[in-house]
Amino acid sequence: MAFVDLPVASVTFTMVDGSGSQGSVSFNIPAATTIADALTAANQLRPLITALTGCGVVAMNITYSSIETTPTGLAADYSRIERKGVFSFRTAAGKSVSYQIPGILDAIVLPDGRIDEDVTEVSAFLVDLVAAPWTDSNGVDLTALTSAFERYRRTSRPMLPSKKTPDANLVAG
Amino acid sequence: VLPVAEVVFTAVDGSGSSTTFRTYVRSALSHTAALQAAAQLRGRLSAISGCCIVRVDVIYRDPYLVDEVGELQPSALFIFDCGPGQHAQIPVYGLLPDLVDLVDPFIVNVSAPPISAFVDELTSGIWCNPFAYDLQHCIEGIVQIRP
Repeated sequence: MAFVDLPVASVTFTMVDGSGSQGSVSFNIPAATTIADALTAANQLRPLITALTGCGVVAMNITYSSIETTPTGLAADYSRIERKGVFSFRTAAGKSVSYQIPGILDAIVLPDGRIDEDVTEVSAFLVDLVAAPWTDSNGVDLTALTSAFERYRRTSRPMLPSKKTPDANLVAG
Repeated sequence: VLPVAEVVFTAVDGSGSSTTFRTYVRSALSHTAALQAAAQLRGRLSAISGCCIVRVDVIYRDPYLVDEVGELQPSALFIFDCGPGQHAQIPVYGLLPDLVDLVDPFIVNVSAPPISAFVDELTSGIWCNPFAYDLQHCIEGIVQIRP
């Protein structure tokens, strides 16, 4: 098990045409490039792209990534992304924000469906999330946990297990 | 850049299904600090979830306003040499008709000033292929029309 930073970051320009269809073009830069330098390079490149194309460049994303290099078999047996732990917070602006953690563990769910925030692992997660640097989507700090409970989402077709057939002895038996 | 950067955790469960968990940091935070904070939060997530976190992306977004736009087709596919055994392919949508070769309609006119300026910028040092090899020179540009 190893989590490593990718050697490159990607700079992706989203383009839109007159019909509203979207496409994107991605470029790579070394991952050590600072966001300021990446922005400078991207802003130099954008007019050169628009000079080639009839499409409009409507957005630019700079993405730095880390990946698990050996993910096979690391997910716990019976873990399912449909089973969520929902954590709702109040923000410093008085709004609320929710996070849904997939595959929430049995051990932290109380019999009535609440999540036990007194469990060490849960409280450590909550303390981290309320502390810097995490914010809501408006850049406002989270201040207090308002609810924590278990929730199930509907299983969509792509979420069905890839292996669905019974083993051979059932057919034989 | 938008005032917040998005931090996206991708999780895989025991059946192989995947989903994402998203949170945010202020975009003034450096990407290295954001990745460090994400690594710590990844550990916290792993302690309360049976899913395996397989990827973390820190995404800084910058929206633009545009006025008039044309068509996505055709696109130009630029092939770059990145040193021994290394290449890069970069598609650009909506290639302007003026930039197509006058003789071969499936080749980009790489000597046209907008194309050469684009290629010169990409080969100027910072840009690389997905394996961090610098783009060195453009081998050719191909005109593509997709269904």
